Amino acid sequence: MFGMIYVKKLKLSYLINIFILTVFFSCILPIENSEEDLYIQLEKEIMCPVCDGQTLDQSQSLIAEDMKNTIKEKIAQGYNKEDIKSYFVTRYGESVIAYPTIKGFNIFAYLIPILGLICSLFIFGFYIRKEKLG
Amino acid sequence: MNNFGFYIMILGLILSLHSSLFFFLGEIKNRKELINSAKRSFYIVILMVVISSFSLIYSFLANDFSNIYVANHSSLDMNRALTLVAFYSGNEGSLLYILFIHVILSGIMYKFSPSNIKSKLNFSCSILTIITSFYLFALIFFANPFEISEFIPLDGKGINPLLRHPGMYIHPPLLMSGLASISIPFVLCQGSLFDKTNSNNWHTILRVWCLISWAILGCGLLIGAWWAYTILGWGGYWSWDPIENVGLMPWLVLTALIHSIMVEERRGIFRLWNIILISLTFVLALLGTFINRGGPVVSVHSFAASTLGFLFLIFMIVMTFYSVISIIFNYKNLTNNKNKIESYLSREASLLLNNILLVVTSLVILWGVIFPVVSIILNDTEISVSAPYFDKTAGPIFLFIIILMGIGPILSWRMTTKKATIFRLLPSIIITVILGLYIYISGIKEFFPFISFVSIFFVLTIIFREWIGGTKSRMINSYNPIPSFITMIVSNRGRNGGYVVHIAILALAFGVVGTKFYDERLDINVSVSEEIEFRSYSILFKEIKQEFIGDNSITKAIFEISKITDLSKKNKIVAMHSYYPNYNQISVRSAILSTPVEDLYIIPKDFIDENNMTIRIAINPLAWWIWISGPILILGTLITLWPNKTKRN
Amino acid sequence: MEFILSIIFLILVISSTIIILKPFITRNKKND
Repeated sequence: MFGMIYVKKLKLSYLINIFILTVFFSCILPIENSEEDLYIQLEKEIMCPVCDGQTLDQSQSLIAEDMKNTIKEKIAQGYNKEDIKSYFVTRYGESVIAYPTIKGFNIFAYLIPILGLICSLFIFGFYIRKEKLG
Repeated sequence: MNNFGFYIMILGLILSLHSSLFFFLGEIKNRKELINSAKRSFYIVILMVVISSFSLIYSFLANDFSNIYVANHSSLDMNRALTLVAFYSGNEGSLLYILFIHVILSGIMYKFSPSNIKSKLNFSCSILTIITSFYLFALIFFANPFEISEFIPLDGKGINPLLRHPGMYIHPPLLMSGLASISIPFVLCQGSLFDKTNSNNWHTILRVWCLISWAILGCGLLIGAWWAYTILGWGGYWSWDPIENVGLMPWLVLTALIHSIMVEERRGIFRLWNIILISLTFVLALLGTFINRGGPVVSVHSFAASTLGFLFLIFMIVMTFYSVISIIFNYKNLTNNKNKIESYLSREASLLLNNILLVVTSLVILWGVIFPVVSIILNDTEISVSAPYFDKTAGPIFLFIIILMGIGPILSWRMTTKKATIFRLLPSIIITVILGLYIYISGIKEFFPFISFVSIFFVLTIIFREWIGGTKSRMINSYNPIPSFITMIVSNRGRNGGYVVHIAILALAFGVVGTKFYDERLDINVSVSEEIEFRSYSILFKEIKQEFIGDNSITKAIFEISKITDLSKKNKIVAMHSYYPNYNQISVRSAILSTPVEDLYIIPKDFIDENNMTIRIAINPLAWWIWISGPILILGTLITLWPNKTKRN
Repeated sequence: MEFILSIIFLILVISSTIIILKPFITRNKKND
């Protein structure tokens, strides 16, 4: 009897955990619209260097329009996504990419939130367990 | 008039300092005269701020360009209606506006506080007037809107062209009001700490003002998004700009607090947690003001960097210290709970989890906002953290929160058996699975949007099932469900108002998922009289029109849209570029045809000549639902706040 | 204009002072 209850308990929380982890790691999957044209995807991932923190997608300044045209040209020349991004990084620096690329120190941009979430869930679990037993 | 406004502010500062001191002394020494005196100056300060504000407005209306602020933010050609916008459009004026809202709300809170709590509000009012004093101090010594220049220009610079849209009458004032209003629940919480009798009378006034603050801030954020979408015309509505984030963060924590207060009211627990939440909300709101006025983060929203930012930083640090100390001081009292959480499957536990997720989301966003600064300091590299980062990190957590929104309400207080939980959830799960299969077959196959839609449906079915059940049980003799439905809603306004608000959030989520994952874009050159087919639309480019208003020139592109399936029905939409030579700025407005299914959105990119232009056609599915969530949210809040007719002793 | 505003200001200062001091005056009167 005890064993059955334990198995039931295990199953439910097991399922819940799997679900949590799946949703959670979906954040690493690319969130972009996969059917979108390449140049639209790139516009959302590249910053306009002089526009107060706007991506090319958001900005309507002349420089942004220029860069958008450059992207179209490069695509026509056969560059792929990574090449085009590298091209801009060479010209404008790392800050032209709209998110921290996962290399070196920048890993902390993602690590801290993930650790924070996991820690807080653990704290939640432990806190309730303590209250129940205490 | 300018000197008058300035000296009135000084008088106001003296009086508010007096009010603060005498409220405090009167409370400690229990002396009625001190408190009466403090009350009087409290109300007089409100009058002073109003007079001061009207002085500034007068200077605007009289086109008094000897006032530097007026000269920088208005011009002779500006119509009267824009004057109000000009008032708060600059650094100094917006600070005066915030002060105005702060004192008005303070007055309303105090005047309409129920008699069973009013006598305990002295400490709260003392802190409230310290905040007032701080704003006045900042205005007088760092951001004086009444500063005069000896040289009087013939015409002012005019208002920033972006601010000329009607939406701008509402968005900044509402948002600033929302952030300013957080002071009220903050001081009320501090007052409840100070009140050693641990009275339960605090709960109502706290809940009411948390809700009011939350609703104002939420509407401010939503209207900002709407304005970005309809006026800025880049096709999106939320750019995760630092200033947007800094308004969102306190709103998220405030959401947590509203739910958490329910638990405190019901079970007497989470008292420590609630104080932490309100302090965090308040500090985040102050952080917002700091970043907005010369903080270290780059944003399209910021005012020019100034020493005022530094002052707000100090104020924020002081208030953080004060919050921490007051928590430590009252720690024993706050953790002295009779009740405990008894089960994972309880309303309390789910609300706690909900709170934690909301706070984590807020902190994750904060991390993203400051990471560029951290990167420079610790890694000596300049990087950007923008939309892609926030979408990926905050998105999944929001999804979680939505799912909890469905599960939480069906759990009982204290404990629910597993059987009961499954019993209550199973019908909804079954319906959701069926709906899920349907949308999968219809083409929604990508993981994240699929899960999101399914979760939204799940929560909706739970709410509807409860409402249908409740209505049915009241429909004993009649066939008309509507009166029964309304009676049901009214009989439990807190709960049902909450459900309406949840529906608003679901509508918002629905629109966000649609626009984020299924938007389509096409860049194309068009000539006048050309007709294009894009998705289900037939787009006829009719003409280009040029208009001149004053110094400003407007180029309009007129389109006629019809559905390919029904070419007889035509809709006219207009896209335009407006050029303001005084600001050397072009503002772009896109043409939008909106239906609940999707928005057809045409961005005018480049006018090549009088017959040709480049446009970007966009389809934004479900965008309509984002905007409808606003009115639903307000409705829900009003239902929740609607007082019961029962008399209280 | 400036003159009128100065007068108004003076009135506001004086009346404010009186208003906030009144609770103390009334108390003293009560004690007599």
